[in-house]
Amino acid sequence: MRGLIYDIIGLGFMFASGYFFYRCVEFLAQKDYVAGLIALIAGFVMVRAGSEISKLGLFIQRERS
Amino acid sequence: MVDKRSVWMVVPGIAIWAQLFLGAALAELNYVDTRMLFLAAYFLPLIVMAVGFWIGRTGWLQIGFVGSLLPAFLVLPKEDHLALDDPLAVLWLCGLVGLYLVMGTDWFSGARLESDEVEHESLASVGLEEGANGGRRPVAAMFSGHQQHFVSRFVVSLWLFCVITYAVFFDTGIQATIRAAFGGSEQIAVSFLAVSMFFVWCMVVYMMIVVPAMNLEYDQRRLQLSTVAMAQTRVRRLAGLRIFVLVLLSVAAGWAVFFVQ
Repeated sequence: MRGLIYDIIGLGFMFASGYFFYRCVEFLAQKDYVAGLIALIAGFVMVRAGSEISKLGLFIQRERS
Repeated sequence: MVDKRSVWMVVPGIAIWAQLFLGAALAELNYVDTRMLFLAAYFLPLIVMAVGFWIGRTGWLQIGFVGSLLPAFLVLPKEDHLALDDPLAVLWLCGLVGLYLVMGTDWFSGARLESDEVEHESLASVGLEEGANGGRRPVAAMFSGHQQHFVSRFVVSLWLFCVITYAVFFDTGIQATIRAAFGGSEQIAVSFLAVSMFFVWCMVVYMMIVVPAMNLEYDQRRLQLSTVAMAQTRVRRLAGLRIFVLVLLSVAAGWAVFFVQ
């Protein structure tokens, strides 16, 4: 159960990263390159965090099974 | 160490560079007073790729190469932006970027296996070795047993692709902003944005699906290794703390005896 919760949280992080990529395009369209870069980094951080959390969930599930 | 796979990886990289900057670089060379700074900007991606190829770092070859295209874009004359004006050329460019990254990933998986062998030895030294890692793993074997885990990641990557495509091509607000900010060359701006965001999406897929698929076993064993190391460090720290408390108590007792007398 705990592994599943971690997996869902990780997926939530990855889905939410879409917002930052959308904002990145918006900022780049406005020629606001610094803000675009920051939004891009935030998106990548979200994806990375989500990936690591769900990987932890997978390990927990494997340990239990 | 340079191997055959990295040689093939360079081919789409050179094709990307040629499509974008070859014409401008040749024109610059033909000028009477060649601007060296412009020429350096045009040839920077090739230099970065050669360095990455030589030192054998995938990060250099992937992120470094794509990042080094930006200075050349900044100095590229408007008439040479034609490479981004045609939707078919943009599709071709996206395909080349994808191919370049896929080949880099293939090369990376080979490099990872080498480092995995080193890890394998260190795991064996702490008694956590789980069997030899022989040869390159087939793609199907990477996902076996974790289909559900990776299917959800495919869904997320599709969602991100849809978000990026909508933002670049269909969002009316962003389209209006691009028209206002890049009046007269909005098609080039959209194309540039599309290629850049496609690269970003490829990197996201790489981080979210490819790297975990290649390294699940490796990561789990590394986690076990760091847990053992942490436990050992904790035992050492506890022993150190006990000695420190003992010394502190002895000094305090000595001072107490000294003052009582």
